[in-house]
Amino acid sequence: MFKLIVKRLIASLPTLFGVSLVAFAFIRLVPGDPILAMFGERGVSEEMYLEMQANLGLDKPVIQQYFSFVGKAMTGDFGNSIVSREPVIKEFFARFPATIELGFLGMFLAILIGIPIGIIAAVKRNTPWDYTLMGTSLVGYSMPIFWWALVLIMFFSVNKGWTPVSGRISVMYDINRVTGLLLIDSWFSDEPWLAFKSAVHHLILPAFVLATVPLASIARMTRSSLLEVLGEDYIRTAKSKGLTLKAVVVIHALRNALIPIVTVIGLLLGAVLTGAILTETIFSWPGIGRWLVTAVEARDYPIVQGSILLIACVIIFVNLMVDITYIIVNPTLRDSNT
Amino acid sequence: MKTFFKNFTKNKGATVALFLLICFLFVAIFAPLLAPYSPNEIFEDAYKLQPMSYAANGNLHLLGTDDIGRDFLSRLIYGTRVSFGVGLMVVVLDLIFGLLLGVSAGYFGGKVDAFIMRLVDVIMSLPSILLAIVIVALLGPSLINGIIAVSVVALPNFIRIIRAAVMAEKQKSYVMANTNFGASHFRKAVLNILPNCLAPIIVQTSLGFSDGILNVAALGFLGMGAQAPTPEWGVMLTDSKDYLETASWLVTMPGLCILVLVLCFNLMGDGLRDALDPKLRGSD
Repeated sequence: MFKLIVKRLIASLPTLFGVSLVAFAFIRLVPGDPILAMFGERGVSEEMYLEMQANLGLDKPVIQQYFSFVGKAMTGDFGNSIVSREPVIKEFFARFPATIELGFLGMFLAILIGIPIGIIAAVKRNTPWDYTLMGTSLVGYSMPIFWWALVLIMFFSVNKGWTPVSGRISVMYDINRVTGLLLIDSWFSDEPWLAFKSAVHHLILPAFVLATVPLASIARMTRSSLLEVLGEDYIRTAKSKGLTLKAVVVIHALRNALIPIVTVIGLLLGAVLTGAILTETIFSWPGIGRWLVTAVEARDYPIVQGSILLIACVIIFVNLMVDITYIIVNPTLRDSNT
Repeated sequence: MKTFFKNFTKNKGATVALFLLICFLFVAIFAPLLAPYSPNEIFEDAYKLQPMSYAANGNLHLLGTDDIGRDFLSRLIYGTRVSFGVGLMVVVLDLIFGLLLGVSAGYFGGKVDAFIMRLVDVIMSLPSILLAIVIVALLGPSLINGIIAVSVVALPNFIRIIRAAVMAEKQKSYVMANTNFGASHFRKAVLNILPNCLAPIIVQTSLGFSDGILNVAALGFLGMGAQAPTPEWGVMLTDSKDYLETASWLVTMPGLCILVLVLCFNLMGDGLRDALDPKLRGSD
C-alpha cells in the first residue's frame, strides 16, 4: 500500500512540471510587450518598467528565467500583485479560507443530499420516484449555475428577504480572523451565537448554488453504481438469507458501490472550483475565484500566473488524497503490493 | 441502424430532446424570418416593457424590451443562433484535434501516448473555467477567443474517450490480420479502427455540445466571451442582472433558454449512449 502511494506521488510530478511550464509561459505569451500590456492606459515610467522587468525576471535568458521562476515558486515567492503591490502568495492565502469554506460546505451538501437521492432512485428503479429524481438530477446537471444563483437570489433574498445578497458575514460583528473560516472564527467573537448565525446565513445560498452540479453528478453516479452492485450474486445471497432490503443495501451493496462514488467526488473538485469562480463573482464572496476574475480584468498578470500554479497544486494534492482514499476503501488495492 | 433507432426512440426523454433540438435548430436557422424585429434595433421610450405589451407607437413586444429598449424575443431568437453556432464550433474544433491526438495516442501507444496523456493531465489539473479565463486573458475577450478557450478546456474529454476506444479496438484480430497483409498505419488507424469507435465519439459529441454552450455562456456572463451587443444568452444575463427586482423576466428567460438547450443535449447524449453502447443495451 505504501509503495502504491509513493508511486502515485511520483506520477504527479510530470503534471506539476507541465503546469509550471504553463504558468511560466503565460506572461511570455501575452501578445506584445507584457509589461506595457499590464499597465495599459495607465502608462508606465521607465523606472517602473525596469523594476517590473526585474520583478518578473524578463531581463534574463529564457532557461535561466524558468529555473529562477521555479526556484522562487518553491520558496513561496510568486511575485507581487501590480494593483495592490502585495505578495501574490499573501493575497492568495488571505482569500483561500473563504473558498475552502464555501467549497467544503457545497461538497458536503452535495454528498449529503446526492447519495440518498441516488440510493432511493436505485432501490425504486423504474418507478415514478426514480424518474422524478433522475429527471431532476439531469436538470441540476445541466444547470447554468450563474443563472441559478440569480434565480435563487431573486426568490430567497429579494422576494422573501430570508438571506443576504452578498458577503460573508454582517458588518456588525467584529471577527478576529484566526483560521479564516468564519464558521469557526465567529465562535470567538463577542456574540458567538449571533455571529455564527450570520455567517451561516451568508453561506447557505452560495453553498447550495455551488452544490447543485456536483449533487446531480453524485446522485447519478450513486444510482448507476448501486444498480450494478445490486445485480451481483452476493446480493442475491444476502436477499435469500432473508435480510431486509435496507440491510442488503446499507450493509452489503453500498460499501461496494462507494468506490466509484469516491472517484467521482474527487473528480468533482475541479467542478467545485469552477463553480466557485462563478458563484463567488455573483455573491461577491471574497474568495480566490472572484479575486482571479478581478485580476484578469485588471491585467494583474502576476496574480494570474501565481494562482494557476497554486490552484493546480491544490487540485493535484487533492487528487492524490482521493487516490489514497481509493486505495484504503478498495481492499483489492490495499492488500496488493504492486 | 434500425435497432439503433428503435432503441433510441424507446427512451422517451431522448426522443423529446431530439424533437426540441430540431425546433431549436429551426429557430437558429430561420432567426431572421422568425424574429419580429432586428436584435439590435433600439426602440426609444420603450425601456423594460413588460411581456405582452404594446409600445407607445403600437409595436407589440411579446417578451417585452430590455433596459435599452431592444425587443427581447428577437434577441432570444438570435441568441439561439449564437449558442448553436458556439456549440457546433466547439465540437468541430474538439473533434479535429481530439481525433488527431486521441487516435495517435491510442494507436501508437508508448512515448506518443505518454506525451499526449501528460498534456491531458496538465489541462485537467486546472479547473475548466479557470483555464478558459486564462486563455481569454491571453487572447483578449471575444466570442471567437471564448470558443477557442472552451474547446481547449474540453479537449481532454475527447482525447481520452477516443484513445480508450482505439486502444480497445486495436487488440482485435482483424487489425492484426491487416498488419499481416501489410496495411499502412494510416489505413489501419483511420480506415479500419476508427469506424468501429464511432459510438463513444457520437455520445461525446452530444455531451460536448452541452458543455461548450454552457461554458461559453459562462464566459459571456463573466464578460470574457461574447461582447455586447451580441445577442448571446450569457451576455444578456449579465446585462440584465441589475434589474432582478424591476424586470425579472429579463433574467429568467435567457437562463431558461440555456438550461433547456443544454438539458436537451445531455438527454440526447444519455439516449445515444443507451442506444449505441452494447454493454448497456438491454440492461434497463
